Amino acid sequence: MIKPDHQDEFYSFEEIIERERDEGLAFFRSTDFELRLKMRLETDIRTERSCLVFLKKPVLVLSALAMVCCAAAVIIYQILSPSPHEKSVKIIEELLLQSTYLQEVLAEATIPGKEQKSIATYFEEELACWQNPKCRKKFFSQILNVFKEVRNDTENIGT
Amino acid sequence: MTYSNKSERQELFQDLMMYKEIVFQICLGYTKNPWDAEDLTQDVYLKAYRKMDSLLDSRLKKEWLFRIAKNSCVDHGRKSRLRRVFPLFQEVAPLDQGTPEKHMMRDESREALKNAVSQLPAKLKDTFILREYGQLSYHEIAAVLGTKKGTVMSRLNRARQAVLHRMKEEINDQT
Repeated sequence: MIKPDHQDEFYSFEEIIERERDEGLAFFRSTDFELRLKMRLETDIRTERSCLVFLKKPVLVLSALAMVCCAAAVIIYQILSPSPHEKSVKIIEELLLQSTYLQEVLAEATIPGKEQKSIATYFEEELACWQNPKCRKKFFSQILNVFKEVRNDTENIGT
Repeated sequence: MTYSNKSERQELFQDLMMYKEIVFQICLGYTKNPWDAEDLTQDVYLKAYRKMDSLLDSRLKKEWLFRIAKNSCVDHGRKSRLRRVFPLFQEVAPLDQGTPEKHMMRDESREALKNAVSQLPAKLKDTFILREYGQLSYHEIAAVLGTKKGTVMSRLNRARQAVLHRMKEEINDQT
């Protein structure tokens, strides 16, 4: 163990540092420091040069920026635009709102022998087949017929 | 000053390479093991190459390089502390063939010294390492640290006393 009071067994910090410096230097000289540094510098210069070449050409920079902007716009559009399902739901909601008005019209248009049907109920019944494209087409054609009937009825009242 | 000419840059870089061993010694003082010190020396030279244009007066290239070395070492220490993976002490293979008992004593003394230096306040530590490891003159240390020669001398004196005191304390604790 180290005993500070025994001069021959205690190393002064100058001695320790000197020894560490000598050993460190021997290690350093044994490494391929310059070769490694040269390789790292070459890589560094090459990277810097390729970046500079790119930056020095405004057409390249502008086209890269334009591409980035386009990509960003597409992504934002995808995020913000409603999905087909959301669009369909909105159309149905609007149609249902309109149906209240149509019901009122139908209530007023009392034509003998013609069965009055709540369009809201009609819509609700048909909503179940909304997912099926064929059914959807049929659904819209039926709605169209209802609208046509209502229009004919109101025109008949006028006459 | 801008070193736009390739040959000017290379010439300056070759001049800077003359101080690689001093830079390594400074890094050794901060890093505690020669492997890290060698890596840091590489980083110092890469930084020097990149920042060559910031050297305004080529007569001060030596001090400029040592300042980069000192700052790189301080940054390295800070990052290592944050990562907490920095080994406290990695022993270098001894060159001489002394007795095992002597080796053990020397290793313990070195560890005590390293601990003592690492506990020094930043300003004292920088001065101590630049002087004891880098063997820079008072004037050079003053230029690197941006202070006066007298301040360097007093800081060095305080640093040496603190190191000696802490080393003795540590060694006494061990015995």
